[in-house]
Amino acid sequence: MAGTAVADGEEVGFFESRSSLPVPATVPPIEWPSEDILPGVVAEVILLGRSASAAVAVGRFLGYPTGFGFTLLVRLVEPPTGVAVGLVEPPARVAFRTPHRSFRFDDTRFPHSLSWGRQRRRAGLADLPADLLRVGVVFSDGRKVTNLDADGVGSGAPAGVLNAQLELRGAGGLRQWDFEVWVQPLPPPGRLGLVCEWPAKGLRMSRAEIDASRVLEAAARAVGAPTFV
Amino acid sequence: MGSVERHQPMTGHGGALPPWSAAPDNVIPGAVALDAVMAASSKAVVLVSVLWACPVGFWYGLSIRLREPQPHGTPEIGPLFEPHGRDLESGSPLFGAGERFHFTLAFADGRTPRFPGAITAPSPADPEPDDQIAHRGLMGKATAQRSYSTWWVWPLPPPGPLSFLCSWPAMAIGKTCVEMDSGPIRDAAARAIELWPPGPGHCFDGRHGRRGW
Repeated sequence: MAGTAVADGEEVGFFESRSSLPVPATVPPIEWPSEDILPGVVAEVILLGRSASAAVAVGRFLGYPTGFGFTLLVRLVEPPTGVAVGLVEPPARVAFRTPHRSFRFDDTRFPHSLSWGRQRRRAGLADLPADLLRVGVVFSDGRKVTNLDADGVGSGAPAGVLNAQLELRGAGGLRQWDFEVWVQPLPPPGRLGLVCEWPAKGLRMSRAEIDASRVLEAAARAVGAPTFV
Repeated sequence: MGSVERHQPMTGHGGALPPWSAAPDNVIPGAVALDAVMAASSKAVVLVSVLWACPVGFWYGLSIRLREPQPHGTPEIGPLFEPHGRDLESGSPLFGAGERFHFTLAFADGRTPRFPGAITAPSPADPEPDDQIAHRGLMGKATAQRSYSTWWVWPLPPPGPLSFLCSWPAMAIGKTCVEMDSGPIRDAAARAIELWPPGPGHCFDGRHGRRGW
């Protein structure tokens, strides 16, 4: 597997500091990339963290003119129980269908979701529960954005935007979760940091990096989707 | 019209799922960057993107864009889920038997999967396909004018070209074939990480996750 070095246990307090940021009065719109654009792809996967009970990786970076995406891959040894099932981001709608019944739910029933930090921030709550998966992106100029930031707005101006949409892939249990993550805008040249922490799963704060030029080059390769002939 | 999403159903059977039945959930796969136009006509465009690979198979995405929205229905989001593109109000097929979307793939050694025809939950008891190739839908979502679905293919393709084939008479798409070099898929599979031994294939059977809704 290709990837860059992962620093384990560094930057303690990275996510805690995010939870104390002021909630901005206004937020820019989050716009997922147009389906009329085919992104450039960086076919790389980076294992961010791994413990006896879970693993978190990022990969398959997609470059668009207005930002970039990647897949957040979460693997669990055991399916989560109870409300912890909800690793789900609000924009995602997850539907299960079995031969006998259907399930459809949204974030409001899943406080332990990727977005829960955001919701708690809006509610004025700053503490971070140990079972909340925390994910963030750090630009080389210091701008950061995480799933704890209110409405996806990161630090600095112009703010970064991180949003996530879930694609549940595979079968056989709820041990395999793939989130399609969208970050706006494109990163500046330099090192692009990716961080995660999941205390309840034994994943300490970890950071990996990818050369942002690879994402920028992918964005330059983005083309208009093939059209009708 | 809002979007429609379908996910592969989950089963409550014990035991590990065989690789021809579902993608493994104990693996971080390698990423693949292979995209191709499968077919394009005045009415529709079909794209295929190979996404991920692991030692026992690979995933790909199928994107469909229609020039005209399908009234009251979805475009094909994958035969596994909506075999004929169904009208959401009446439940009747959008296309006649001779007009439907068909797609499949073929390995360089000639293996090609049987066309999937129904929603079936993966099970540890799924028999190994006689033709030594499997092709199963993982998820799909669609609006009236666009659709996207992902597919699991077992096993890895042998060296040589990997062919994706389709036809859709209703959309003025005859039999078409696009080929890709299977090398990048096998290369990505070699980069995958097996995290832990495969576990039992449970389960969205009420023991997990039902509480709270």
